[in-house]
Amino acid sequence: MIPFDFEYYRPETATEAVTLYTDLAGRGKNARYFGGGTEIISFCRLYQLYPHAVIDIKGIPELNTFEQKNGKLFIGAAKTLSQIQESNLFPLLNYCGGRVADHTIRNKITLGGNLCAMIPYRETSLALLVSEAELVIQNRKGKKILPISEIFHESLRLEDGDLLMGVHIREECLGAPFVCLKKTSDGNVGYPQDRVGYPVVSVAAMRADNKIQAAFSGVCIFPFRSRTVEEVFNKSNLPREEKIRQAVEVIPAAIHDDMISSAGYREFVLKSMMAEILERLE
Amino acid sequence: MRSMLREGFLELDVNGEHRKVVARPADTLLHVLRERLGLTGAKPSCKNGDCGACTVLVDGWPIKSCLMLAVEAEGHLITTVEGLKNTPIQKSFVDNFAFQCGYCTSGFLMNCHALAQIHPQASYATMREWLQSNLCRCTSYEEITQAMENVLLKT
Ligand SMILES: Cc1cc2nc3c(=O)[nH]c(=O)nc-3n(C[C@H](O)[C@H](O)[C@H](O)COP(=O)(O)OP(=O)(O)OC[C@H]3O[C@@H](n4cnc5c(N)ncnc54)[C@H](O)[C@@H]3O)c2cc1C
Ligand code: FES
Ligand code: FES
Repeated sequence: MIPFDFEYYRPETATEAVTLYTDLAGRGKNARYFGGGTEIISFCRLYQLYPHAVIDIKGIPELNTFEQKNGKLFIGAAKTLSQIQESNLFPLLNYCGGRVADHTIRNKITLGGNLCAMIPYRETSLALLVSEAELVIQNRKGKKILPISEIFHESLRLEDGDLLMGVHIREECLGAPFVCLKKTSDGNVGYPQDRVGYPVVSVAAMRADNKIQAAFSGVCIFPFRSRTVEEVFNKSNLPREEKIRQAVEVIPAAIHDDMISSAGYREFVLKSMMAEILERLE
Repeated sequence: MRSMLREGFLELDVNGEHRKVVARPADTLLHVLRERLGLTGAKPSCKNGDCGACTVLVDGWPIKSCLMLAVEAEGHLITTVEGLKNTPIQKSFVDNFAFQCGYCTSGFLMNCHALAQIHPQASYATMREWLQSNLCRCTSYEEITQAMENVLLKT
């Protein structure tokens, strides 16, 4: 039960949604775009978030489409992780999204909501980072399309009122060879808990233009793709063990230590996943 | 644009009936089903998306009703365990003794029924993936899995 009230709006167009957001802000009301609502509802129940209004974006047709056009696949931000998985259009994203929470919750979690989530894992971002996706964003001033590398630094750096409309993925990335691995603190203990849970380490790697591209979640307190790690992976004539040793040294922040996993165990899991990436993609 | 600014009437399609109910915009579907409509089959437990006891079907897909606002469900077809009548999965749960205390059962039934409808020939891996969404404190997992498998095999 959410112990306070908020207003609910369900606009039919993106323009209506962003205009409403600004109008509400002008009246001193703090609004939230509402995708699957799984995080908003959970956080409101725990008093960690108290919006005056929620703007449900699932009724906007443009945010609910898959479209293949001009050599790119567009996935609307309101598509659920299950819809993405069932469509099977981009296998790497199926894998990354297909291990978030559990199957029933994935019927509700949206791609946009996972990318914009406050909880740091944002595992769908890994597939988009390695495939160098473009993000389509709308606000009061209009629409812009930005490469993910320009706007995703630890989290998605949207401006107040920005609505994520969807993502474009280049067709050549859709079938590229990839490795996608996740380990939770339960490990693979068998039904019913196998794979369900926040990651100790979650990785997505792809081979594109003859190079390995890799992104990580769980390792640090934010998901990342690191060009420096990739440079080490792509060095020729360096033994695998040495690549792994050097790659771990250049990750962008300290390895996270929390209730889910100690930093030492995370490092151990990270190294074994790096070995698997190199083995399968080199 | 649909808006709901304060407590007021909501129209919901539940188990084939059109119901008009008073709710707040911030009320979850679980709360409205149980406290306003008297449909107590969907069970509250973690209220955090972890356990699946509150699972209902929305347009045939399993959804954890503790993570859905009642107002979001407008215009969609909701099915609770009260709406399941003599389905193969209910019979299979009885035949396989797939419950002990029964608290998780309605959630499991909804999820299993949806799987049988959406992917009647689901692979073992798909079945496992779907079943991970629900927890059973009495650990009837083996029997539940068997009940589900038997229904899938017969379709
Ligand atoms: C039990 C459980 C386990 C989970 N396990 C994992 C896990 O292992 N890995 C993982 O990555 N995630 C996991 N999650 C999911 C995650 O933490 C969030 O709950 C989920 O990603 C939010 O998606 P949503 O569509 O419901 O977003 P919402 O709750 O609707 O929104 C989340 C945030 O994003 C903003 N937002 C939503 N859509 C847009 C948009 N289009 N444009 C701009 N802003 C937007 C909202 O305003 C809000 O601030 C888990 C969740 C649960 C409940
Ligand atoms: S009460 Fe909804 S998932 Fe536990
Ligand atoms: S039968 Fe008791 S919780 Fe499942």
